[in-house]
Amino acid sequence: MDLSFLKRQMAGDDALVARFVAIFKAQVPAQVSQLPGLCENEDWEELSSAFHSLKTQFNYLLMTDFAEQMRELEESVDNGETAFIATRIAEFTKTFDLFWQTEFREN
Amino acid sequence: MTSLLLIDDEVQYSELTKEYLEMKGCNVVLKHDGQAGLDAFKMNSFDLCVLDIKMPKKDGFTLAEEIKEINETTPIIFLTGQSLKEDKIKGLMLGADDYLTKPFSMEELYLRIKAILKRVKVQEKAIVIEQYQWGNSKFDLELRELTVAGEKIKLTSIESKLLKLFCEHQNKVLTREVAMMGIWGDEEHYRGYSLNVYVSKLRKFFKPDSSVEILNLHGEGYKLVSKQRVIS
Repeated sequence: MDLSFLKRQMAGDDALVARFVAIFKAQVPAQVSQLPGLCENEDWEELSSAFHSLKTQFNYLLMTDFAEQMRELEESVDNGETAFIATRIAEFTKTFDLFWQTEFREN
Repeated sequence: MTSLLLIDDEVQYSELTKEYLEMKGCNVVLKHDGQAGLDAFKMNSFDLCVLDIKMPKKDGFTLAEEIKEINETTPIIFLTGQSLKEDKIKGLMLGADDYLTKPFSMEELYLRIKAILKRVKVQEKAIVIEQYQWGNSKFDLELRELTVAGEKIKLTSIESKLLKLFCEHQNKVLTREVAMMGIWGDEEHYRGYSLNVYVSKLRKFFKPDSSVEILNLHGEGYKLVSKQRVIS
């Protein structure tokens, strides 16, 4: 995980960085797992908020590909373009789960 | 101490921002939705507000409009996950003083807050206030004259001092201690009864003007709330 940008944004405060990462690890997988359900229930407002939140979190950790996908999905939902959202969420969660297992695999 | 209202729906991350600003010596009230933020703004006095734009219940733009209706001089900084030019323009048109795109640097946020407050203090010093004017009311300090809905009321020295204090704390809390010190130069317990009487008199004077209200903040003091403010 590249923490260089996050460190700059947290004014070099290691304690704040560590707490940010802890929140990230606890919050992001839970938010990602909720995406398909929100889509299924057509809760577009909540879904847009979730994409919005994930986008910012990915950006802090320089996960720019994920951040860009979140930005596109948020924009689609906000514009009412929801026809292919379920498929795109399924693709994203698959990639994300793989990434997460590799990056944060428990020893 | 600088008093800040921070409103951000990212519950856990915004705690980090709050703690950083508190480490820098600010007093921060943190709320997580627009409505709770507005309620906090009505009940307290803040030097500056930091508002997220995309929030549940009430977005940052709507909230900024409502804050400006209560106190048009309170500086506002918007935080947003978007970097859309239209959003920046909309924010600035609503009277925002600055704009930060997430992910933002904590230090940059703090420095911008400091810069805005420095600018505000300079502006306040440059204004010599002799008259206060609201919707249908006008207070001439030199003449000790209050005009409400066209009717002129000659104020006593104490009424005038109290109203001046309210004007100086408009849309902010005027504590009982500050009021008593400002009027009588001491905080003797028995002054409290007199203060209640003078506040009631001012309320009565303002009765014909619905745009002005003196709120009773239990255990704190009073707040003069006006939807419009013009200083000349």
